[in-house]
Amino acid sequence: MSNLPLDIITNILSRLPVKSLVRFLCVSNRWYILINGQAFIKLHLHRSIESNTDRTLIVQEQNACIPFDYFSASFHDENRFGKPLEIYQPLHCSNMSTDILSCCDGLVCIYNQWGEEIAIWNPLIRKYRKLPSAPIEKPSGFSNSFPISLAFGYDKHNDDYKVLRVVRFFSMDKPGKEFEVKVCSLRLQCWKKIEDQWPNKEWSICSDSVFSNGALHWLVAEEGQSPENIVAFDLATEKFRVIRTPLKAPTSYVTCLEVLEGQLCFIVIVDEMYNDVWLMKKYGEESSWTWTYKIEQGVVGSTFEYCKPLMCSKNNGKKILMEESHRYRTYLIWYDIEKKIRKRVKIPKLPEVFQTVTCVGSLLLLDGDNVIDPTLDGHNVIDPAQKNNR
Amino acid sequence: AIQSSRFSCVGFPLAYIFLACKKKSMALKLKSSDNKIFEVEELVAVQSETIKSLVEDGCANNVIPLPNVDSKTLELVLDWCKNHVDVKLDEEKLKEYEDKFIEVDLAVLYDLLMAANYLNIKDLLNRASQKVADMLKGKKPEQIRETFNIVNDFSPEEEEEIRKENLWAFEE
Repeated sequence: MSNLPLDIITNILSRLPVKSLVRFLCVSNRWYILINGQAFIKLHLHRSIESNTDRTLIVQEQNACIPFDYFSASFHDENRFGKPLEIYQPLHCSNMSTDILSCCDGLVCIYNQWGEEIAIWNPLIRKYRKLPSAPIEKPSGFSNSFPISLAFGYDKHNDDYKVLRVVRFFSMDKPGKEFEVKVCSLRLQCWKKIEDQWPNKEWSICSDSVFSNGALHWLVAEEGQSPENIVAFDLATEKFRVIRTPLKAPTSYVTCLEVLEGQLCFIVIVDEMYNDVWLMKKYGEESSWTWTYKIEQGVVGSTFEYCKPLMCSKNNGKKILMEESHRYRTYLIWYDIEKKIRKRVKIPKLPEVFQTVTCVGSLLLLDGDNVIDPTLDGHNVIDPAQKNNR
Repeated sequence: AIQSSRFSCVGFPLAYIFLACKKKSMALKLKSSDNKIFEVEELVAVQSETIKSLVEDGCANNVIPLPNVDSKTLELVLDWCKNHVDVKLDEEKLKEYEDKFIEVDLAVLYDLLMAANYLNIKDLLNRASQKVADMLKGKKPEQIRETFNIVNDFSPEEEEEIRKENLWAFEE
């Protein structure tokens, strides 16, 4: 195998899992430079997404005491899931919960309780970068702010990963709301105020954020109303736009926004009986909302509260991996949308209640900081920041 | 050399019709590095982008010399091409064929990679690369150096530093 040209070696290496690649960094100087190169990292990510193999579930425990534990479980096809391994997240703090915001290209955005600390973390190669903090600038006359909303996505135009933060202010004394929108670039490591105005000051955010087609999305509604609109923020143009939802559900129904294989996904939870799901087949075109499936309660067992779609099966996309959450229990299931058959995924030793994201293998942030595994000998150094808090 | 056996069992009138219909797919002659001549249908051969551009430039009337590919490898490559002419072939059957085809040792894979690269046959290059990747996946850096005949140009300290940074990647 000696004398293979560099482009063939590159082609071969781009098909390897990240663990092998990190191990092969020490093969030689040439390989070290090759694997660390931006072009290679891009090529590898592209292949990783395209092949739709070697996904990893990042699981966050949710029923135990703070801090929650994190696990990773690799899966190669529908029924082959690896044993969950405990992993350590970089914002680890003994008295605060760290939550997953979302995942993009193998990067997981996590934040501490009030969004004061945010990190972009590549769990598969155990690297991360913390984002700088940004003060909330309260406009004069406003005394209170609602909990902040965060969103994470990729700006293709500037080849950068970004976090958007929306803060909504109000005052007890006067009507009206005000918004502050800031964006942080992972590459530049700084926050910037967004000039474009939030489309409607009466709209508040009523869903988790979703990244799709270069934009960040939220369901929005006036107080007491059910959402008819989605606010989209384009990361390249830094402009807001409004997309209508496929229907206005009765106010008693809960609605959710998700993304499935890159498509916006609108879900109505009907009376705890079933979830009705629409997909936006052509991004930005409201006429392309297509009712896609309905998932009903099973005959036995407790009723689920929500079935969050995670990804489609590799072969034909007719089966969807879902996180089926019950009040005191979370299951992973494969749901066949044509035959309407659900099948529980058996992974031993998962927490009882959890939240999960699916990650592709990616070398992004290979130059980031190392996540320290607190159980490893010799690494038991106390973070100076934490030390001061004692 | 592989003989062109297409017409041997066909009577004259049929062969005539066949030729008339298939006028576009002529036979090309390829010469391997060890001077063996392979006669193949143009449709088969032009899966190689390299040969395709020769044909388009009108440089394929005589024997096409392929000084970088020996006869053993060329035979394999042409077998791959023949099985990839008919795009409507059953996907499962094709996968079965590819899996069996690529079940060879590293030395043969090396020859296939070099030939696919030189002849510019993308799907073969990718399939062979994937096979090599699958073989390398679980290996240690030392084994990789041996396989690729790579000299370790890190000092022991530098290598130790990289290993220490990523200890987890060396665990089973």
